[in-house]
Amino acid sequence: MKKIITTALCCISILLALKLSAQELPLGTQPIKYNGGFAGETGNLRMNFGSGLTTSSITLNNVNAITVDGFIPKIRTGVGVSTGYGHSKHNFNAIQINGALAENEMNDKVTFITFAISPKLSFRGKYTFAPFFDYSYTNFNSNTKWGFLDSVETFRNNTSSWSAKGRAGFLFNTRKLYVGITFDIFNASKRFGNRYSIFTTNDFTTSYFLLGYSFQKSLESKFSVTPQLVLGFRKFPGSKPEILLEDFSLMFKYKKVIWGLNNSGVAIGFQSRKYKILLSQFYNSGYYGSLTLRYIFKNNSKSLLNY
Amino acid sequence: MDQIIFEYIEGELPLEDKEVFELRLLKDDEIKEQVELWKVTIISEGFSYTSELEQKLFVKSRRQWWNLSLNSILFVSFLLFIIHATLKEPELSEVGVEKRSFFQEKILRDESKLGFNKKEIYKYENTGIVETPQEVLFDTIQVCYEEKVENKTLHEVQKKGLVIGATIFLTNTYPVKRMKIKKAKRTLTRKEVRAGNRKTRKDTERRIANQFRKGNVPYVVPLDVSNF
Repeated sequence: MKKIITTALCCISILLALKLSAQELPLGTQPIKYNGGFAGETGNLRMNFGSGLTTSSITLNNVNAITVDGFIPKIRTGVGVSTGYGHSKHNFNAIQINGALAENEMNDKVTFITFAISPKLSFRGKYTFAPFFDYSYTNFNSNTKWGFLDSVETFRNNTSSWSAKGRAGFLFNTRKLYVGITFDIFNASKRFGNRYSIFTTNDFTTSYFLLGYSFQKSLESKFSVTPQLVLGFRKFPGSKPEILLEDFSLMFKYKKVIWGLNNSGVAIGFQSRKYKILLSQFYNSGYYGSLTLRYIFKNNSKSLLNY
Repeated sequence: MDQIIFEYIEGELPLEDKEVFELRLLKDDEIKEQVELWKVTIISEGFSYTSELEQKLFVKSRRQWWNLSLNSILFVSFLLFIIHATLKEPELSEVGVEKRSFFQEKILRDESKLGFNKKEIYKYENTGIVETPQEVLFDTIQVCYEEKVENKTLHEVQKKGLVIGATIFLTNTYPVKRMKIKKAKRTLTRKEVRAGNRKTRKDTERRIANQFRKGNVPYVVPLDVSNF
């Protein structure tokens, strides 16, 4: 019954989240986005949902993602599934192209799904080492329309593509610390146009380095500070590797109230051992906002959460 | 027939019935045999009444009288002694302080064995606190002992009595009430506080780790879900 109610709440929150804006979902909304070792990391069934929306005068972006991961005790492995949908709409009216007024409208849609599997090796009751392998599939569709205002003729262009990516790596964590590394194994994509289709195996690789730590005086302390960092390493053939700050999060927590900064803006919310509700917002020539929900189901398997 | 035979042997038959029975005895041999059998059962020993037996067994105890008389003598002498002790006029010392009564002396002697510093204070209900007992007609008195322990003064109200004239009748004894000396709270240094917190944290981690070792594998050490 609890699971049904929780699922219903998540569905309702999807509808509510359509009113919010966000450029990107905050770190932690999709646990297996950067590192599949987070699949089954809690030892219990976990459900994450995130929804974000960005609005400005010419742009409307919306992305929704849901991630479910759990731990299977018999095979000592965590598995996770993440899926999402994104929609982006750009409307350029009355722009000048070579002195003539034109209009341009773009509609992009993206759907993705990711599977991750991660066996767990815990020892001394303090450390867990989790190597992983994940596979993600992304489908992208773009519909563009443009034309001159003083001309009847309009042009349309429809392209779509899909990409498949396989990654591997590991995650090492204790109660307060986690360190993870992710690297690409293969990366393939295929693009379709009105009159063409191109299949390529991308040569560029993206690796991630994750780090997070929770500063807390003691386990019973009410106040804590939790910075998290995701660095991306991109290497294109023939060029130097680039180091990018992919994602970050700096959250403060007192009792069960959380607040801080992340890539989606200023965040405030509520977090307990089961629930997490986080609302992030940012204003910069537009409105960016996101809503994150998390629920951890308790089960009878041996897990630190049950103590 | 057995009844008649029994009464005949016992000699309780009336004369007329006895003559008839004897005539019948001469004629009937069966009755004669039964009478002979009955005669064999007669006990020939003498009979003694229980009252006579009791009188033989009864021995007058002279010890009871002796105990009773001794107890009474002792009781009477004790009463006289008390009366004499209480009614005895206290002798005045050279300083003018009345000599204490028997009970007071005894109390002071007992208390002195404990070895603490004491100062006798006579507190009269109507006249107030004085250091020496005064001659009053009628008043209640509290004999208080002042005890000094570690530069702190404790008052003990120990005895209560009644003063009639110059004699103090000490009646009730009350339990000694001592003031509780509050111990100062021990303040821990920062180092000790940190060490205590560290020990608590390590004990918690050790306990959690032991729970995993005892339990069935597999297990997972998760990130603290309340922070991440």
